[in-house]
Amino acid sequence: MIRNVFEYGDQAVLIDFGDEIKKEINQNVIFVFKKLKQIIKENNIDGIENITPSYNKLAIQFNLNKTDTENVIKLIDQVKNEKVEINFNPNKLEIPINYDLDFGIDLERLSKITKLEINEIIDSHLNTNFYVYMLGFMPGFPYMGDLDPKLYSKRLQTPRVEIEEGSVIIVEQFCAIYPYKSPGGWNIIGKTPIKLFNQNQENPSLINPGDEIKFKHISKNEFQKIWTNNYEN
Amino acid sequence: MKTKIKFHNPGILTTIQDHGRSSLQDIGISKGGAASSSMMELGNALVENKNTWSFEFILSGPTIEILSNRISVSITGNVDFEIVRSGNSEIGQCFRSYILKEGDQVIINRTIDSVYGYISFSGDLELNKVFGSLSCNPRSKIGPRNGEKIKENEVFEINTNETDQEYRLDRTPQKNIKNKIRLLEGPQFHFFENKSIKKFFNAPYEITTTSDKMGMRLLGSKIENQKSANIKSEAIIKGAIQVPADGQPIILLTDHQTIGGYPKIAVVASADFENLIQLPPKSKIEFKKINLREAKISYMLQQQTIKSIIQSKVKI
Repeated sequence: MIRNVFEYGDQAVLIDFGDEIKKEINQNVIFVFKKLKQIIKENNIDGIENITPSYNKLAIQFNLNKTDTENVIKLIDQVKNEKVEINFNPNKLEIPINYDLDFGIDLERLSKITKLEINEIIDSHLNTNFYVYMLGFMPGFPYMGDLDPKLYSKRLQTPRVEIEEGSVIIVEQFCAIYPYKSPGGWNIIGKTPIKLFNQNQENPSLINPGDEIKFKHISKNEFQKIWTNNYEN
Repeated sequence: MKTKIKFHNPGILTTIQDHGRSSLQDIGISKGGAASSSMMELGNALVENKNTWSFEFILSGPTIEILSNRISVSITGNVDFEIVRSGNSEIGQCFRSYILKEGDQVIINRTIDSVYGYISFSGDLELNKVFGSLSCNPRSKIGPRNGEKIKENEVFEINTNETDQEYRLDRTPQKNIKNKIRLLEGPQFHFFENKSIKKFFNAPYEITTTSDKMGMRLLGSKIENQKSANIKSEAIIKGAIQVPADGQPIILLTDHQTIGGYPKIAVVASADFENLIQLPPKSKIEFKKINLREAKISYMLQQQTIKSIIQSKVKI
């Protein structure tokens, strides 16, 4: 499961699980991520500042005044030989989406590129069981995969200056949702009225690494109701 | 006792800072906090704060007026400033505290041969923390008041303890900033050619003017990559040095992004991070490679020095 542990400066280590972007590899990352958080909480271990999963690595940052590389490697040894429980509390979420062309502004262009009807693109997207590899780029931004290879697309040559929050976007095998307004070069296929990020909650992010996501189509009317409720009240 | 202060001139980029917020990088929020936590700590020790927080300013600082009551204030860093008390202006001294009354002012002119300075007031700032921290990041809009920088005429309320005692530090930190920065090998050190690595550790690099608190862009000898100019995105940490395809290194600083897809040749030793972040654009820097043991010892020594400086606090 764990291939190697590297020093990452004097206040972090980097755990290596492999080179590829694969759900099976990332599930190991998320398993160790959740297991470490559990051990730290149960044993009141002080000095760990951040544990950050990515596709195939896990970084542990610590405070050198309280612990050191040696201690953190010992901590990792505690989980090294654990049997991976793949269903380590996967959180399943349904995200409502509307694909009207004024939201899914790249659907017509994608239809030409992929030689698929817009309805086929939508059906494929709705039928995909997405897996959240990691969050990053901006607070609450989820990297989800994998799309059907027939839907693969490239980034725009010139990124857009502003994309609205809630926009559902795709590129290569990935799908993501913008939690905030942002510039971006991914292809926009629809919009969700759900708020992904809320500063006032203890866990501010609705979507977390390792979650399983499925999209659910809603009408423009339903969209407006939820949007008004979330953003305008 | 509540004291109000007003920013007449906000300075170029003044923000509220503390030690930042941890355990959120997995959802896309890096720790952030003060660029120089030791300068912030010294400032807070001088005004006897239990809860550390400061106003952090960059290059050219703010003018602040005390609107009510009295409060203790200290300026830390290498800063040219004035204190106006009862209408009389005096040249300010860093590393001491001043008791200011209604109508008195702190006028920060500029930082000297450095980037960041700290204004610490006694007491707690009357603002709600966001994710356990007062730190503001104007780019990601995280922090109280949406993490924005301080605006002209903005007023803050501080819950302060009544005191007439001023302090100074008998020992002060070294003023000179070093241009030699110690590094540890990064996770993708072996992605780079031996020749390039040699150049990286022997030729000077210039800090470019496009640098900010998120990252420091360097200009110098091109680093050739012998493996791949991209990696699968992985966690970024403070001080990581990434090398994009153009071969010019970027050092990720306090407000770094959470993940990144460029290979990292090295990581700045923690003992040299605060020195590095104080170097103004156009400064030339050189690198030296050290191992983990040396890095740890240097950091521990530095922490002890800061503690002994704090302990050298004496009443005026």
